Amino acid sequence: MKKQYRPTPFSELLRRLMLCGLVCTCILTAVSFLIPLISALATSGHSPADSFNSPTAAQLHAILAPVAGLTAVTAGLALPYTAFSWLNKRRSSDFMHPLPVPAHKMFWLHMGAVFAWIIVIFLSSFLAFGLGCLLFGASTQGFWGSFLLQTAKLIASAVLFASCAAAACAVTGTRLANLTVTVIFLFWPAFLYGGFSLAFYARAELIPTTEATLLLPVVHNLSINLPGGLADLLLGFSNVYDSGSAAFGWTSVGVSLLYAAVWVAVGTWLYHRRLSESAGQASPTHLIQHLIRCALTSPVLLLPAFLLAAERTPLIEILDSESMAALVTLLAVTAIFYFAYEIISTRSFKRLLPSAAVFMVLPLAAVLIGTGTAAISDMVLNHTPPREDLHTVYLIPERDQRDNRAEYWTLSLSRIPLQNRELLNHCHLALNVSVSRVLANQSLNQGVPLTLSFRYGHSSMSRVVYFDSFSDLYELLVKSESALEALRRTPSVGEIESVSLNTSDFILDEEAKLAIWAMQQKQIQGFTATELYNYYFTNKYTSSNPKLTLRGTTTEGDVFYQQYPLTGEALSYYNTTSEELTSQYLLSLSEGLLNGKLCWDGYVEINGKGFTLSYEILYSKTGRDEYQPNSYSIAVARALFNQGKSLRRATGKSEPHLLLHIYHIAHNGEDYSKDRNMVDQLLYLPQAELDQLLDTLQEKNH
Amino acid sequence: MIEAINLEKKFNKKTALEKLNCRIPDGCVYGLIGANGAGKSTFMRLIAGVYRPDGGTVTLDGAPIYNNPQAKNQLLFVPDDLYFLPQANMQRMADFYRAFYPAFSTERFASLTEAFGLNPKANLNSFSKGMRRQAAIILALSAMPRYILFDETFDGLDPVMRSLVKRVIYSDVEERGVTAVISSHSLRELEVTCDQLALLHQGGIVFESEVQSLQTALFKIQIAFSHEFDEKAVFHGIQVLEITRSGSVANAIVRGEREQVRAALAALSPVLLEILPLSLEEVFVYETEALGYRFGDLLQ
Repeated sequence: MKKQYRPTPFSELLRRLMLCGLVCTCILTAVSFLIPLISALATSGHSPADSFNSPTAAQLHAILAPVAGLTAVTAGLALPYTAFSWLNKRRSSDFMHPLPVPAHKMFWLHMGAVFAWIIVIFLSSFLAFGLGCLLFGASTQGFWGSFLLQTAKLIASAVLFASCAAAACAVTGTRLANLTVTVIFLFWPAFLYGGFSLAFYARAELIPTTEATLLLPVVHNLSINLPGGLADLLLGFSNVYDSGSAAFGWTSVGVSLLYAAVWVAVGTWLYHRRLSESAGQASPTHLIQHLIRCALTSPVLLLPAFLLAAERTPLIEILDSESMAALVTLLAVTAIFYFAYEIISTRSFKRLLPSAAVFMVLPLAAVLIGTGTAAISDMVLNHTPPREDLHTVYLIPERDQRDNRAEYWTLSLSRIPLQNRELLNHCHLALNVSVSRVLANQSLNQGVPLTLSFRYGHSSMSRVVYFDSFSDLYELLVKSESALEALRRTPSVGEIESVSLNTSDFILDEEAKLAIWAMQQKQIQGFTATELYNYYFTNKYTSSNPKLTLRGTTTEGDVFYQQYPLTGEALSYYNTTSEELTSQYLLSLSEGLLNGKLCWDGYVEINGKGFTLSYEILYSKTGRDEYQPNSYSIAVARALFNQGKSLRRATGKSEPHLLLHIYHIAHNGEDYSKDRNMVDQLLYLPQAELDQLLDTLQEKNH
Repeated sequence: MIEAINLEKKFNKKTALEKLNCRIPDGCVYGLIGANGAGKSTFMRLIAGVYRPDGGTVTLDGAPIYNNPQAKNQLLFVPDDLYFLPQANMQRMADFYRAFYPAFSTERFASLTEAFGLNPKANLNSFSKGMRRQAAIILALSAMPRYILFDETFDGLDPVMRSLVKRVIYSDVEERGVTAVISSHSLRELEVTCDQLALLHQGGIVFESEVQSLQTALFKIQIAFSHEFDEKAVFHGIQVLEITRSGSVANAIVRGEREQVRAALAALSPVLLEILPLSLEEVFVYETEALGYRFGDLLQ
């Protein structure tokens, strides 16, 4: 006997969301598949150069990303609003509430159905876009990792939106109130946290944001991550491709999901406490209506409160007639928002009088929060360790906000406990002077900032300390042999992940660059304290010498970068090698161009030693109307493209100019910068004269 | 058994139910009568577990109903303002009920749909108001609950359908021991349907009794003698609620054992002695007035 299908509550709730879920899925899946298809159709039948320039999967995804971002917001709101729409009407509420399911399970069933649809929407898009790229030949090299991350971010963002919206539905009973409370849940905690952080750190200038024990680390800072994530979402994740930052990577996915989990928990509790008679009412109680109204309108007053708290200038000096007028205007705007919400949400004037009484809480709260923030900030800043308790100081490396990398020498030095008495005195004095200056609202611009961790007793604290002179500190620092050794330490081959040169990078291969590095490393290890000071902390070498940049991970697990100017033997070796190779390349290039084996196409820029040269991707003629990209040209293009430079079409008129540049440099050995006048002459020659010159050169070559 | 003890429900500052006490025994048809705003629907929603009581308790077999799936699984609420899933037909609604009520009988759903002549594949939006009520009743009965709550459900049904629905309910009551709670502001509606009746007024039960005992305990007597008589003397020893005289005929509303009263009065050799039954409405008028209420106020 055929077993009869028995629906489950979950399957029924999935069915209820079918219309909304299918519309989102179909639109996004269709767009995901059509983008690679249309791109393939647009480039088919064009010249080989065009097909070479056809967009990669990453570039195509930049077109899809805003649509996907918009879908994440739309689905994240529409799905929970549809799922919980029955809470807003009495008759649907009468139908659903008697169902024999515990309240928390009912909420989770709804959330489960919403999340399932969100996953279906973005998984379908993922498959459709991936399939489209594979079928229609868009390059997916190095794309899948970031694509997966973006899909995860879209899902996490939609889940976060949905969780906030569901929690809002659990406490309100009309569509307007649903939307209002969703906005409050999404942005108000982040606004409060962000405003407090902004004012706190701006006022206490010396407390490093990454080391503050009072607040969460920046990477987990929801106020930064959430609006950043939203902006990112709406702008199409353009920065995902070139950013290795944890804040924009998987961490943000984790933080968003964690945040969503918190809202699901809050939503469950609110739903469990919900009174079914709230259906059709803006809020279940007068108290909650006051809270919603205040939370909605408070940012208008809290923002100036935070801005004023961040300022050390006395209020009496700031509050002139103009700023007073601005404050009164803000108060009026707040009042308009406040009472407008009350009238619109309740569709009645009955509760205007009680709400007017509560309105006075808003300016009072703004004053309290503003002064409270300023007081907390000053209290934390004022706290410094007594000199007699201070036993050690550590340097804290300054890290890049985007990828968390620090300079190698700072990482190396940060592991050395600095316990020299004179050095401790110097640091302690500098700390106290810095604190006094901040509290007295004096400028710190003249000093040299260093972030230090002060260890006293069993406690520690980190501060940015401004030193009057770095050389004085350096002298005290290098009295310690271990600190000097740390400064001499350089990355070993095992620690290096990439090595690059700021000039002629594409000409030298990895091996040659590492050979140059080995020479430079040897020199650094033999530097005296004074030489090290000159090498790292003056611009004696950095202003003009070619520089080698190393990136990698130290044996201790820290990601680093460091720029090493080439000096001595390393510099000589580099000059000889790169000049020789550049000359060879340019010669073969110009000859290929002049004898007609190469032709012009896509635009590329070369940064060579001592010159900057623009040229286009070259194609070799392999037969009648048949072309093949020149391998050297492709290698250059790839080297440049991998560094993030973009390819674009150039106008035809620039071609002869460019050809002349190359020819001139290759045959005369003169570079662009040294013979600027000649180049300019060529650039601005009339077209006829240029053509004539080109013919002459070609004849000469033949 | 459904039992409400000191049940209270307030909406903001307005009290909808105040210290309501009620016992609805198993296997009966229980009627709730009252004017608009008396608290019938609120009481129904409290029984159905829609509302959380602000005070007192409402229990099913001793277990609280609110947020209790075991209790809710045994009862089904058909509200006055019906709701169906958007763009649903009866089959879709049946699937939904089956997902939540394990006892839902597909066979019963099919037979009832056929008996009522409704198309289970037709969109419910295309149904008339009466047909939608029939659909809601069919779905509720197919879920096979032990307790079924109808909030003014029969008001939109035509007499034929009403009769058919009632037959189905009676058979459920008799065969499966189902308890049906029906609210209405029409006493005539409940008179022929219910075993027990409760009158709600201003959030409390004013009066509760079995219909049959109500109708048998109160009756009207018409009596006349060939000679002048004092009606008070005639009815001495009998509990009279009201007495009027029209010429030589006296009319009295009497509470008591019918045969005993007849025998006592027959002994006085009247030329006319007739015992007439009262309509339920008349019984309610006299009973509530005896409690100090004006019946007109209660059912306005």
